[in-house]
Amino acid sequence: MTISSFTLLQSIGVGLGFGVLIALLVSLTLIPSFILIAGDRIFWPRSGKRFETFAVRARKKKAERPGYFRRAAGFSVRRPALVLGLTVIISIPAIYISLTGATSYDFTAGLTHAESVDGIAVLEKSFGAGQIGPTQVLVQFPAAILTNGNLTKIAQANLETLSQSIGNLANVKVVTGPTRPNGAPVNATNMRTVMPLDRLAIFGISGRIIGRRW
Amino acid sequence: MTVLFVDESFTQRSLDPVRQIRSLVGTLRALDPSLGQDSILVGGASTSTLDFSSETVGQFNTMRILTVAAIFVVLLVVLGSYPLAITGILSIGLSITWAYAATLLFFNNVLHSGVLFIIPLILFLLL
Repeated sequence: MTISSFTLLQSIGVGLGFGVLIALLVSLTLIPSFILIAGDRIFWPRSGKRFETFAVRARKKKAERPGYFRRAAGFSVRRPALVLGLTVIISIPAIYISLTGATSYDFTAGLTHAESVDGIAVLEKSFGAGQIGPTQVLVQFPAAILTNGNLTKIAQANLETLSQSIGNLANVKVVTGPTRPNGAPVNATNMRTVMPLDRLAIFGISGRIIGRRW
Repeated sequence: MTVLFVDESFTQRSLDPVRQIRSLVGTLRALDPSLGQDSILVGGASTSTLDFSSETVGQFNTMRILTVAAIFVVLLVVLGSYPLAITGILSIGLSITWAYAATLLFFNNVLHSGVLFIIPLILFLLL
């Protein structure tokens, strides 16, 4: 993970690496020293007479009824073919579920009382869910696309082809841009035919998108 | 251009159109020489999430191969046996698969939500 180019994975990798290294260092140095200094008191409160009582009780319990791990291991040794068969039978659907199960991309899911989540819920209710995180399609033309305040025919055609094709996709509510200031297509190659409000929206969109190149 | 989806940005129904838009842009650029000259980029909340997910999954796949190979070598050196090392790797793989399948079943059927796409990676690290 440390050699990954992705910062998130890199940080987990470095953190884990240091974690294992420090745990190993502590296990090999600090813990033995502490045990040596503490002596039998390390088992407090189950030390001395209390330990002997506990040991007798544990041995008796073990003799009467073996523990779960012993029984599980005993069963596996007695019926190896059955255990192997069961493993394969369970693994097939498990692999299928792992490969086809639905995953989520919403990191805020479950934050029911977070202010940000409440705010998004209100915004979604008022303006629609898609309004919160719109998708932007940036088109960079090789030459200027405005002549005398009008969009060039090539720019109009290209932007409209894209807008129309994207607008036809499923789950797309609306596509806005220089040729569709309010979602409906307009002829931006002749601004005189465009309604004043649409013209204002076009220049707003164009100003935002193309900025200083205009 | 701004594209607004019907659903919120982080749902599967909003990520699928992003893939479609990218594919569509590629097709249109190939078909239309005029569009082919333009530089077209798709960005935004859904796109960032999709790229983040793709990048994580892509790097996770590389990590899986490297980690499994490294663990196999360690087990081989420690245990000195190919069958034991392979059984060790298989049992770890089974634990992760079963745990992830159980998590998916629980989330999809009991909580009625999806498991975060990063969970397989976390399970792999923990187990």
